[in-house]
Amino acid sequence: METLKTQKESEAVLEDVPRPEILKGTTKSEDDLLSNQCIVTCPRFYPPPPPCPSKK
Amino acid sequence: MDTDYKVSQFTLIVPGSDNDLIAKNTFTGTVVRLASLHQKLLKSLPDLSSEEYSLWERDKDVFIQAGIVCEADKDENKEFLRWMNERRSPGVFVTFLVTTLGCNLACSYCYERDVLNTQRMDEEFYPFVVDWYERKMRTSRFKRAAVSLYGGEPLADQRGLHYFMPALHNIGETLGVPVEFDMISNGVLLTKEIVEFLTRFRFQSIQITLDGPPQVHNNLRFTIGGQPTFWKIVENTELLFPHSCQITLRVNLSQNNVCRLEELLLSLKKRGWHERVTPSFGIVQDNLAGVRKDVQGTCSGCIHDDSEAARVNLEATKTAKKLGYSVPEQVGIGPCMTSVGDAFVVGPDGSLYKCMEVVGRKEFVVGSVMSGTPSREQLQYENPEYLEECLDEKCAFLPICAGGCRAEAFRATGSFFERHCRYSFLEETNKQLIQIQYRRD
Repeated sequence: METLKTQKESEAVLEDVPRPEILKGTTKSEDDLLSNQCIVTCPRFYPPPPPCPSKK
Repeated sequence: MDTDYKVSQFTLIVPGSDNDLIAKNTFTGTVVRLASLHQKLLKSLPDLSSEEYSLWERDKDVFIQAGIVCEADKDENKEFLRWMNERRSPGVFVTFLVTTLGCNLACSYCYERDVLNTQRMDEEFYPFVVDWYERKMRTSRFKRAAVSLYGGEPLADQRGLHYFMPALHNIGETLGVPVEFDMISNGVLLTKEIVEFLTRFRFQSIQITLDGPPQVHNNLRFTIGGQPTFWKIVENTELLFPHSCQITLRVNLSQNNVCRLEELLLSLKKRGWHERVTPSFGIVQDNLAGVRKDVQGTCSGCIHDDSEAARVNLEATKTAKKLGYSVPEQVGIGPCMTSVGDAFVVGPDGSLYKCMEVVGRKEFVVGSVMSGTPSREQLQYENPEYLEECLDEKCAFLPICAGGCRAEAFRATGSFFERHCRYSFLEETNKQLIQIQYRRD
């Protein structure tokens, strides 16, 4: 009975914790390496592109 | 309770708003919003309490997918080095083509100031340069070629521009390797005719520079004859607005002009620039040419301190964001073209360099379009021993620094092959940039 109560309590705590949310996916694909000027030239002169607006 | 996972050495966790946090992996680029209990859990990995374990079981897939955590026995340094190795042949032929070291401006902080001259590439030399491009593109399996038109001022040599753009474009079309162009220009010589010419090709982007509202800008970026340039650059840049190329507005910040940035961006916003232009902030620091001491208000504003550089960069980014401009979410220093095999700066005499900051400086020539391209083995840049300390420290900023800027390393140590660590600048800047970009206001 004690154990069940503890389990229910911790389930309740879990429900209150929001799930982690991915705001931006990986940028390390081969396509990124090919297309991202800042990675292959000079990041001081070519800043990385701003994040995709839809992922903000 | 044991798990087989650890927090990635490349994960940064910064406070968000209310009770949430934001985690970013500098290697994968992934960004995740977390709850405070998640941070507690991540700190406890791999041994979790039963309550933490329940949360882990529920949410671990997101952490694993995002790369915020990785297998406990994973050697992340090895993975980073593998990526660095892939970068050596990224499938892109990267060049900066400098047909002239001449420039129509006399900017106070120019790092080429002591090598600028009126010499342009000799027309008789053009076919040799084109041959070099053709040989490289024919013998390597590139998926595309990226040619940055650079100088001096690239528009100060329109003869070269009108020769090379069609010539290189045509080689690419023949060989099935698309040639994309971009340009770093002061914008003063841009005209409607030049815009029409540029946009006939795969012209991807241009970077122009405005260093403040007219009075401030004109004191820093003036013609050789001392004429103002602000309104000319604004009007010329707007000629590009109907076209699809990306436009980057470079603002070189010193202690003397950062307080006038809002005024600049606000006046440009009224002209619609916030919807068309992405700001990029440079910091005026010491350079190979030294900063001009005869221009009032420039040398004294030069930023030497990393903490001040971070403060200025962040203040500028917040201002731009507040006014509705797109802003970058990270500031990187490396890795750069020095560690990419087929990446060169081609000088007006056909000399090859590995860094755009050293063009025109004989001591940094690594080859020539005439005498040959150095092999990968000949380029010490490809086996950077200076990374070892960074790897030992498992630095979280390694993927966006890679041992530091080579030109800055040279200035600081006299060698291109020494580590140049700017940890405090990277940490201070990037952690706050994550908050600026992702915190819920």
